[in-house]
Amino acid sequence: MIYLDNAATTLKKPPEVARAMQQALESCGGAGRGGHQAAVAAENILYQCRQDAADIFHMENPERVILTCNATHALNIAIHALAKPGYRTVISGFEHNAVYRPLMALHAGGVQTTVVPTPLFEPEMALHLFEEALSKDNVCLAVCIHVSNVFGYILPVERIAEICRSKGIPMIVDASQSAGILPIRGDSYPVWCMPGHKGLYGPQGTGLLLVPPGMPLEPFMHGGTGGNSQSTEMPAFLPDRLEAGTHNAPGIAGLSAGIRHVLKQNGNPWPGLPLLQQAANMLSVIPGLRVFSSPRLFCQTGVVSFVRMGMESEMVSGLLGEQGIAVRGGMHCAPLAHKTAETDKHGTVRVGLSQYNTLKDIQLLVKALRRI
Amino acid sequence: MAVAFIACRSVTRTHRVAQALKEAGFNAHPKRLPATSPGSGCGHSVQIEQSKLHDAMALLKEAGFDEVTALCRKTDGELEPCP
Repeated sequence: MIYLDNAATTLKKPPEVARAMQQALESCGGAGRGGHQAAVAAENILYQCRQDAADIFHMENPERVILTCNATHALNIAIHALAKPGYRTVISGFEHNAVYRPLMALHAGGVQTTVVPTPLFEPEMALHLFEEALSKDNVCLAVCIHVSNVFGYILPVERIAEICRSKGIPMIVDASQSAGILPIRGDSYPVWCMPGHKGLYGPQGTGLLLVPPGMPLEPFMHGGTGGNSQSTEMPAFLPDRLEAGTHNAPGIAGLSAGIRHVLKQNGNPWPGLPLLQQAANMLSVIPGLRVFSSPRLFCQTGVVSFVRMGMESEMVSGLLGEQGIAVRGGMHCAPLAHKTAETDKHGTVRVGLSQYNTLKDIQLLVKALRRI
Repeated sequence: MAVAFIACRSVTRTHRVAQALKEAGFNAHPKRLPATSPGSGCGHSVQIEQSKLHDAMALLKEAGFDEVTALCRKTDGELEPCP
Protein backbone atom coordinates (compact mmCIF):
# COMPACT_ATOMS: atom_id res chain seq x y z
CA MET A 1 0.00 0.00 0.00
CA ILE A 2 1.15 3.52 -0.81
CA TYR A 3 0.02 5.45 2.24
CA LEU A 4 -0.81 9.09 1.55
CA ASP A 5 -3.35 9.69 4.32
CA ASN A 6 -0.87 11.07 6.82
CA ALA A 7 -2.99 14.16 7.47
CA ALA A 8 -5.41 11.80 9.24
CA THR A 9 -2.79 9.66 10.99
CA THR A 10 0.83 8.98 10.18
CA LEU A 11 0.92 5.23 9.66
CA LYS A 12 4.63 4.61 9.49
CA LYS A 13 6.30 5.55 12.77
CA PRO A 14 9.91 5.52 13.85
CA PRO A 15 10.60 2.00 15.23
CA GLU A 16 11.42 3.37 18.68
CA VAL A 17 7.75 4.40 19.10
CA ALA A 18 6.46 0.83 19.17
CA ARG A 19 9.38 -0.27 21.33
CA ALA A 20 8.66 2.43 23.91
CA MET A 21 4.96 1.52 23.94
CA GLN A 22 5.67 -2.17 24.41
CA GLN A 23 8.04 -1.44 27.26
CA ALA A 24 5.53 0.88 28.95
CA LEU A 25 2.74 -1.63 28.57
CA GLU A 26 4.81 -4.21 30.38
CA SER A 27 6.14 -1.97 33.15
CA CYS A 28 3.71 0.84 33.94
CA GLY A 29 1.09 1.12 36.64
CA GLY A 30 -0.98 4.23 37.33
CA ALA A 31 1.11 7.39 37.37
CA GLY A 32 0.88 9.14 40.73
CA ARG A 33 -1.27 6.34 42.10
CA GLY A 34 1.31 4.70 44.33
CA GLY A 35 4.90 4.78 45.48
CA HIS A 36 5.78 1.42 43.96
CA GLN A 37 8.05 0.77 41.02
CA ALA A 38 5.26 0.42 38.45
CA ALA A 39 3.66 3.74 39.42
CA VAL A 40 7.01 5.49 39.40
CA ALA A 41 7.78 4.01 35.95
CA ALA A 42 4.57 5.59 34.63
CA GLU A 43 5.37 8.92 36.33
CA ASN A 44 8.78 8.96 34.68
CA ILE A 45 7.23 8.37 31.26
CA LEU A 46 4.69 11.16 31.70
CA TYR A 47 7.32 13.58 32.89
CA GLN A 48 9.68 12.66 30.06
CA CYS A 49 6.92 13.33 27.54
CA ARG A 50 6.13 16.72 29.08
CA GLN A 51 9.80 17.57 28.94
CA ASP A 52 10.16 16.43 25.34
CA ALA A 53 7.13 18.52 24.41
CA ALA A 54 8.55 21.51 26.31
CA ASP A 55 11.80 21.06 24.38
CA ILE A 56 10.29 20.87 20.92
CA PHE A 57 7.82 23.69 21.58
CA HIS A 58 10.33 25.92 23.37
CA MET A 59 8.54 26.01 26.71
CA GLU A 60 10.22 26.88 29.95
CA ASN A 61 7.90 24.90 32.21
CA PRO A 62 6.81 21.31 31.40
CA GLU A 63 3.97 21.67 33.92
CA ARG A 64 2.16 23.68 31.24
CA VAL A 65 2.13 20.67 28.92
CA ILE A 66 -1.25 18.95 29.34
CA LEU A 67 -1.54 15.35 28.15
CA THR A 68 -4.82 14.74 26.35
CA CYS A 69 -6.47 11.95 24.33
CA ASN A 70 -6.19 13.82 21.02
CA ALA A 71 -6.45 17.33 19.55
CA THR A 72 -10.24 17.29 19.81
CA HIS A 73 -9.98 16.66 23.55
CA ALA A 74 -7.47 19.50 23.91
CA LEU A 75 -9.67 21.84 21.86
CA ASN A 76 -12.74 20.98 23.91
CA ILE A 77 -10.90 21.78 27.14
CA ALA A 78 -9.78 25.14 25.79
CA ILE A 79 -13.03 26.09 24.07
CA HIS A 80 -15.25 25.19 27.02
CA ALA A 81 -12.98 27.21 29.31
CA LEU A 82 -12.73 30.32 27.16
CA ALA A 83 -15.92 30.68 25.08
CA LYS A 84 -18.32 32.74 27.19
CA PRO A 85 -22.12 32.86 26.99
CA GLY A 86 -23.31 36.24 25.77
CA TYR A 87 -20.04 36.82 23.96
CA ARG A 88 -18.74 36.14 20.49
CA THR A 89 -16.06 33.67 19.42
CA VAL A 90 -14.29 34.53 16.16
CA ILE A 91 -13.06 31.61 14.05
CA SER A 92 -11.51 31.16 10.62
CA GLY A 93 -13.38 29.74 7.66
CA PHE A 94 -11.15 26.66 7.71
CA GLU A 95 -11.95 25.21 11.11
CA HIS A 96 -12.34 21.49 11.61
CA ASN A 97 -15.43 20.06 13.30
CA ALA A 98 -13.23 19.64 16.39
CA VAL A 99 -13.67 23.41 16.78
CA TYR A 100 -16.95 24.05 15.01
CA ARG A 101 -19.05 21.38 16.71
CA PRO A 102 -18.11 22.31 20.29
CA LEU A 103 -18.95 25.93 19.49
CA MET A 104 -22.27 24.94 17.92
CA ALA A 105 -23.02 22.80 20.99
CA LEU A 106 -22.36 25.83 23.19
CA HIS A 107 -24.62 27.99 21.04
CA ALA A 108 -27.72 26.94 23.00
CA GLY A 109 -26.02 28.27 26.13
CA GLY A 110 -25.56 31.68 24.52
CA VAL A 111 -22.11 31.37 22.95
CA GLN A 112 -22.13 33.16 19.60
CA THR A 113 -19.76 32.35 16.75
CA THR A 114 -18.52 34.57 13.93
CA VAL A 115 -16.88 32.83 10.98
CA VAL A 116 -14.31 35.04 9.27
CA PRO A 117 -14.73 34.31 5.54
CA THR A 118 -11.02 33.96 4.87
CA PRO A 119 -10.27 33.16 1.20
CA LEU A 120 -7.98 30.24 0.40
CA PHE A 121 -4.21 30.95 0.23
CA GLU A 122 -4.60 34.65 1.05
CA PRO A 123 -2.97 35.10 4.45
CA GLU A 124 -2.80 38.90 4.26
CA MET A 125 -6.52 39.03 3.59
CA ALA A 126 -7.13 36.62 6.48
CA LEU A 127 -5.18 38.88 8.78
CA HIS A 128 -7.12 41.93 7.70
CA LEU A 129 -10.49 40.20 8.10
CA PHE A 130 -9.55 38.79 11.50
CA GLU A 131 -8.48 42.22 12.67
CA GLU A 132 -11.81 43.63 11.58
CA ALA A 133 -13.80 40.87 13.32
CA LEU A 134 -11.73 41.13 16.51
CA SER A 135 -12.31 44.89 16.66
CA LYS A 136 -16.04 44.46 17.16
CA ASP A 137 -17.61 44.51 20.61
CA ASN A 138 -18.30 41.49 22.68
CA VAL A 139 -15.52 39.23 21.40
CA CYS A 140 -14.27 36.84 24.09
CA LEU A 141 -12.18 34.40 22.07
CA ALA A 142 -10.49 33.71 18.72
CA VAL A 143 -9.86 30.22 17.37
CA CYS A 144 -7.77 29.60 14.28
CA ILE A 145 -6.43 26.51 12.62
CA HIS A 146 -2.69 26.72 11.94
CA VAL A 147 -2.74 24.60 8.78
CA SER A 148 -5.98 23.65 7.04
CA ASN A 149 -6.44 19.90 7.17
CA VAL A 150 -8.13 20.04 3.75
CA PHE A 151 -5.84 22.34 1.78
CA GLY A 152 -2.59 22.55 3.74
CA TYR A 153 -3.08 26.33 3.84
CA ILE A 154 -0.91 27.95 6.52
CA LEU A 155 -2.87 30.66 8.27
CA PRO A 156 -0.98 33.58 9.85
CA VAL A 157 -1.74 32.52 13.44
CA GLU A 158 1.25 34.25 15.02
CA ARG A 159 0.17 37.60 13.59
CA ILE A 160 -3.47 37.01 14.52
CA ALA A 161 -2.22 36.19 18.02
CA GLU A 162 -0.48 39.56 18.19
CA ILE A 163 -3.78 41.29 17.40
CA CYS A 164 -5.52 39.19 20.05
CA ARG A 165 -2.82 39.98 22.60
CA SER A 166 -3.11 43.71 21.94
CA LYS A 167 -6.87 43.51 22.54
CA GLY A 168 -6.66 41.14 25.52
CA ILE A 169 -8.66 38.47 23.69
CA PRO A 170 -7.62 34.85 24.40
CA MET A 171 -6.75 32.74 21.38
CA ILE A 172 -6.71 29.02 20.66
CA VAL A 173 -4.69 27.53 17.79
CA ASP A 174 -5.56 24.14 16.33
CA ALA A 175 -2.11 22.83 15.45
CA SER A 176 -3.30 19.42 14.28
CA GLN A 177 -1.52 19.64 10.94
CA SER A 178 1.42 21.76 12.02
CA ALA A 179 2.77 20.15 15.20
CA GLY A 180 6.11 18.58 14.33
CA ILE A 181 6.14 20.34 10.97
CA LEU A 182 6.13 24.09 11.58
CA PRO A 183 7.87 25.91 14.44
CA ILE A 184 5.59 26.40 17.46
CA ARG A 185 6.39 28.40 20.57
CA GLY A 186 4.24 27.00 23.36
CA ASP A 187 4.95 29.93 25.67
CA SER A 188 3.69 32.44 23.12
CA TYR A 189 0.25 34.03 23.50
CA PRO A 190 -2.23 31.41 22.23
CA VAL A 191 -3.31 28.12 23.74
CA TRP A 192 -2.00 25.40 21.37
CA CYS A 193 -3.91 22.15 20.78
CA MET A 194 -2.51 19.21 18.85
CA PRO A 195 -2.70 15.46 18.30
CA GLY A 196 0.17 13.10 18.99
CA HIS A 197 -0.57 10.79 16.09
CA LYS A 198 0.25 12.98 13.10
CA GLY A 199 3.43 15.04 12.65
CA LEU A 200 4.73 14.07 16.07
CA TYR A 201 4.67 10.36 15.08
CA GLY A 202 3.05 9.17 18.31
CA PRO A 203 0.20 6.66 18.47
CA GLN A 204 -3.51 7.38 18.18
CA GLY A 205 -5.15 8.33 21.47
CA THR A 206 -2.56 10.93 22.41
CA GLY A 207 -2.60 14.70 22.23
CA LEU A 208 -1.23 17.84 23.83
CA LEU A 209 -2.58 21.11 25.14
CA LEU A 210 0.06 23.80 25.68
CA VAL A 211 -1.04 26.42 28.16
CA PRO A 212 0.83 29.74 27.99
CA PRO A 213 1.67 31.60 31.20
CA GLY A 214 -1.19 33.64 32.60
CA MET A 215 -3.98 31.71 30.88
CA PRO A 216 -6.26 30.18 33.52
CA LEU A 217 -8.32 27.29 32.17
CA GLU A 218 -11.20 25.63 33.99
CA PRO A 219 -11.30 21.81 34.05
CA PHE A 220 -13.36 20.10 31.36
CA MET A 221 -13.30 16.77 33.18
CA HIS A 222 -13.29 16.17 36.90
CA GLY A 223 -11.93 13.14 38.71
CA GLY A 224 -8.96 11.55 40.40
CA THR A 225 -5.52 13.10 40.03
CA GLY A 226 -3.51 10.94 42.42
CA GLY A 227 -3.01 13.72 44.97
CA ASN A 228 -4.92 16.04 47.33
CA SER A 229 -7.54 13.32 47.42
CA GLN A 230 -9.43 14.72 50.40
CA SER A 231 -10.42 17.78 48.39
CA THR A 232 -13.71 17.71 46.52
CA GLU A 233 -12.31 20.01 43.84
CA MET A 234 -9.77 19.63 41.09
CA PRO A 235 -6.34 20.99 42.07
CA ALA A 236 -5.74 24.65 41.27
CA PHE A 237 -2.41 23.99 39.55
CA LEU A 238 -1.28 22.54 36.25
CA PRO A 239 -1.08 19.94 34.88
CA ASP A 240 -3.35 18.23 37.44
CA ARG A 241 -6.14 20.76 37.04
CA LEU A 242 -6.78 19.64 33.48
CA GLU A 243 -5.88 15.94 33.72
CA ALA A 244 -8.44 13.73 35.46
CA GLY A 245 -8.22 9.94 35.47
CA THR A 246 -5.53 7.44 34.64
CA HIS A 247 -3.16 8.40 31.85
CA ASN A 248 -2.48 6.43 28.68
CA ALA A 249 1.09 5.65 29.71
CA PRO A 250 1.92 3.34 26.76
CA GLY A 251 0.57 5.90 24.31
CA ILE A 252 2.42 8.71 26.03
CA ALA A 253 5.64 6.67 25.94
CA GLY A 254 5.13 6.32 22.20
CA LEU A 255 4.42 10.02 21.80
CA SER A 256 7.55 10.85 23.74
CA ALA A 257 9.61 8.64 21.41
CA GLY A 258 7.95 10.26 18.41
CA ILE A 259 8.73 13.76 19.64
CA ARG A 260 12.36 12.81 20.29
CA HIS A 261 12.54 11.48 16.74
CA VAL A 262 11.32 14.83 15.40
CA LEU A 263 13.67 16.68 17.76
CA LYS A 264 16.61 14.78 16.26
CA GLN A 265 15.98 16.65 13.03
CA ASN A 266 17.28 19.70 14.91
CA GLY A 267 14.50 22.02 13.89
CA ASN A 268 15.25 21.68 10.19
CA PRO A 269 12.34 22.58 7.92
CA TRP A 270 9.92 19.74 7.26
CA PRO A 271 11.77 17.57 4.73
CA GLY A 272 8.61 16.85 2.78
CA LEU A 273 8.12 20.36 1.39
CA PRO A 274 10.01 19.78 -1.90
CA LEU A 275 8.05 16.53 -2.30
CA LEU A 276 4.77 18.37 -1.75
CA GLN A 277 5.79 20.87 -4.42
CA GLN A 278 6.58 18.00 -6.78
CA ALA A 279 3.25 16.37 -5.99
CA ALA A 280 1.36 19.60 -6.70
CA ASN A 281 3.25 20.05 -9.99
CA MET A 282 2.76 16.46 -11.13
CA LEU A 283 -0.95 16.45 -10.28
CA SER A 284 -1.51 19.79 -11.99
CA VAL A 285 -0.68 18.41 -15.43
CA ILE A 286 -3.20 15.56 -15.26
CA PRO A 287 -6.17 16.44 -17.48
CA GLY A 288 -9.45 16.92 -15.63
CA LEU A 289 -7.87 17.57 -12.26
CA ARG A 290 -8.19 20.79 -10.30
CA VAL A 291 -5.35 21.01 -7.81
CA PHE A 292 -5.42 23.37 -4.83
CA SER A 293 -1.94 24.75 -4.30
CA SER A 294 -0.57 28.15 -3.46
CA PRO A 295 2.04 29.70 -5.79
CA ARG A 296 5.41 28.11 -4.91
CA LEU A 297 3.67 26.71 -1.81
CA PHE A 298 4.47 29.96 0.02
CA CYS A 299 1.66 29.32 2.50
CA GLN A 300 1.09 25.58 2.23
CA THR A 301 2.48 22.50 3.88
CA GLY A 302 1.82 18.80 4.40
CA VAL A 303 -1.31 18.47 2.29
CA VAL A 304 -2.42 18.96 -1.29
CA SER A 305 -6.05 18.50 -2.26
CA PHE A 306 -7.58 18.01 -5.68
CA VAL A 307 -10.89 17.34 -7.38
CA ARG A 308 -11.50 15.21 -10.43
CA MET A 309 -13.98 17.10 -12.58
CA GLY A 310 -17.30 15.28 -12.86
CA MET A 311 -16.47 12.71 -10.19
CA GLU A 312 -17.27 12.48 -6.49
CA SER A 313 -14.10 12.72 -4.46
CA GLU A 314 -15.15 9.70 -2.38
CA MET A 315 -15.39 7.70 -5.60
CA VAL A 316 -11.92 8.82 -6.73
CA SER A 317 -10.39 7.87 -3.40
CA GLY A 318 -12.22 4.54 -3.52
CA LEU A 319 -10.84 3.77 -6.99
CA LEU A 320 -7.36 4.75 -5.87
CA GLY A 321 -7.78 2.51 -2.83
CA GLU A 322 -8.51 -0.41 -5.14
CA GLN A 323 -5.12 0.25 -6.75
CA GLY A 324 -3.37 0.25 -3.38
CA ILE A 325 -3.17 4.02 -2.94
CA ALA A 326 -4.47 5.27 0.41
CA VAL A 327 -5.82 8.81 0.20
CA ARG A 328 -8.88 10.39 1.73
CA GLY A 329 -11.87 11.76 -0.15
CA GLY A 330 -14.85 13.77 1.06
CA MET A 331 -15.26 16.52 3.61
CA HIS A 332 -12.37 15.62 5.94
CA CYS A 333 -14.55 16.60 8.94
CA ALA A 334 -14.22 20.23 7.84
CA PRO A 335 -17.38 21.29 6.01
CA LEU A 336 -16.63 24.89 6.91
CA ALA A 337 -13.36 24.76 4.94
CA HIS A 338 -15.16 23.34 1.92
CA LYS A 339 -17.81 26.01 2.14
CA THR A 340 -15.09 28.67 2.24
CA ALA A 341 -13.27 27.20 -0.75
CA GLU A 342 -16.53 26.34 -2.53
CA THR A 343 -15.74 22.64 -2.69
CA ASP A 344 -18.66 21.67 -0.47
CA LYS A 345 -20.59 19.93 -3.23
CA HIS A 346 -18.18 17.07 -3.95
CA GLY A 347 -15.44 17.52 -1.36
CA THR A 348 -11.81 16.94 -2.32
CA VAL A 349 -9.32 14.12 -2.56
CA ARG A 350 -6.57 14.81 -0.07
CA VAL A 351 -2.94 13.73 -0.33
CA GLY A 352 -1.24 14.00 3.06
CA LEU A 353 2.51 13.43 3.17
CA SER A 354 4.83 12.38 5.94
CA GLN A 355 8.59 12.28 6.10
CA TYR A 356 8.49 8.64 5.02
CA ASN A 357 6.91 9.33 1.62
CA THR A 358 9.09 9.40 -1.48
CA LEU A 359 8.86 10.63 -5.05
CA LYS A 360 8.06 7.07 -6.10
CA ASP A 361 4.86 7.21 -4.03
CA ILE A 362 3.76 10.31 -5.94
CA GLN A 363 4.67 8.76 -9.26
CA LEU A 364 2.51 5.73 -8.44
CA LEU A 365 -0.36 8.01 -7.40
CA VAL A 366 -0.13 9.89 -10.69
CA LYS A 367 -0.01 6.62 -12.63
CA ALA A 368 -3.09 5.34 -10.79
CA LEU A 369 -4.95 8.59 -11.34
CA ARG A 370 -4.31 8.44 -15.06
CA ARG A 371 -5.98 5.03 -15.12
CA ILE A 372 -9.21 6.36 -13.58
CA MET B 1 21.41 8.46 57.09
CA ALA B 2 18.53 10.72 58.15
CA VAL B 3 16.32 11.75 55.27
CA ALA B 4 13.96 14.66 54.77
CA PHE B 5 11.19 15.20 52.25
CA ILE B 6 10.45 18.21 50.11
CA ALA B 7 6.69 18.06 49.62
CA CYS B 8 5.47 19.28 46.22
CA ARG B 9 2.00 20.11 45.00
CA SER B 10 1.96 17.55 42.16
CA VAL B 11 3.83 14.56 40.84
CA THR B 12 4.99 16.68 37.89
CA ARG B 13 6.35 19.37 40.19
CA THR B 14 8.07 16.61 42.15
CA HIS B 15 9.91 15.46 39.06
CA ARG B 16 10.90 19.02 38.17
CA VAL B 17 12.24 19.63 41.66
CA ALA B 18 14.10 16.30 41.71
CA GLN B 19 15.61 17.09 38.32
CA ALA B 20 16.73 20.56 39.41
CA LEU B 21 18.34 19.14 42.53
CA LYS B 22 20.04 16.29 40.68
CA GLU B 23 21.47 18.72 38.14
CA ALA B 24 22.93 20.67 41.08
CA GLY B 25 24.59 17.53 42.44
CA PHE B 26 22.11 16.49 45.12
CA ASN B 27 21.10 12.88 45.63
CA ALA B 28 17.36 13.42 45.24
CA HIS B 29 14.50 11.29 44.00
CA PRO B 30 10.69 11.40 43.92
CA LYS B 31 8.93 9.72 46.82
CA ARG B 32 5.25 9.31 47.55
CA LEU B 33 4.06 10.51 50.95
CA PRO B 34 1.02 9.59 53.04
CA ALA B 35 0.11 13.32 53.02
CA THR B 36 1.70 16.63 52.13
CA SER B 37 -0.28 18.41 54.83
CA PRO B 38 -2.94 17.39 57.37
CA GLY B 39 -6.23 16.60 55.65
CA SER B 40 -4.86 16.87 52.14
CA GLY B 41 -4.79 13.21 51.23
CA CYS B 42 -1.85 11.47 49.64
CA GLY B 43 0.92 13.59 48.21
CA HIS B 44 4.26 13.71 46.49
CA SER B 45 7.72 14.68 47.58
CA VAL B 46 11.41 14.55 46.82
CA GLN B 47 13.54 12.58 49.25
CA ILE B 48 16.88 14.08 50.18
CA GLU B 49 19.53 13.71 52.86
CA GLN B 50 18.47 15.79 55.83
CA SER B 51 21.95 17.29 56.13
CA LYS B 52 21.57 18.75 52.60
CA LEU B 53 18.07 20.06 53.10
CA HIS B 54 19.01 23.65 53.89
CA ASP B 55 21.13 24.00 50.74
CA ALA B 56 18.49 22.28 48.63
CA MET B 57 15.73 24.59 49.84
CA ALA B 58 17.91 27.62 49.16
CA LEU B 59 18.53 26.40 45.62
CA LEU B 60 14.85 25.80 45.02
CA LYS B 61 13.94 29.22 46.32
CA GLU B 62 16.47 30.83 44.03
CA ALA B 63 15.15 28.82 41.08
CA GLY B 64 11.64 30.11 41.73
CA PHE B 65 9.98 26.90 42.90
CA ASP B 66 7.13 27.96 45.14
CA GLU B 67 4.77 25.79 47.16
CA VAL B 68 7.42 23.39 48.38
CA THR B 69 7.56 22.39 52.06
CA ALA B 70 10.38 20.65 53.89
CA LEU B 71 9.16 17.75 56.04
CA CYS B 72 11.18 15.80 58.60
CA ARG B 73 10.34 12.67 60.54
CA LYS B 74 9.39 12.95 64.17
CA THR B 75 10.62 10.26 66.57
CA ASP B 76 7.27 8.46 66.20
CA GLY B 77 7.77 8.32 62.42
CA GLU B 78 5.15 10.97 61.62
CA LEU B 79 6.10 13.86 59.37
CA GLU B 80 6.24 17.48 60.45
CA PRO B 81 7.57 20.69 58.94
CA CYS B 82 11.32 20.78 59.44
CA PRO B 83 12.56 23.27 62.02
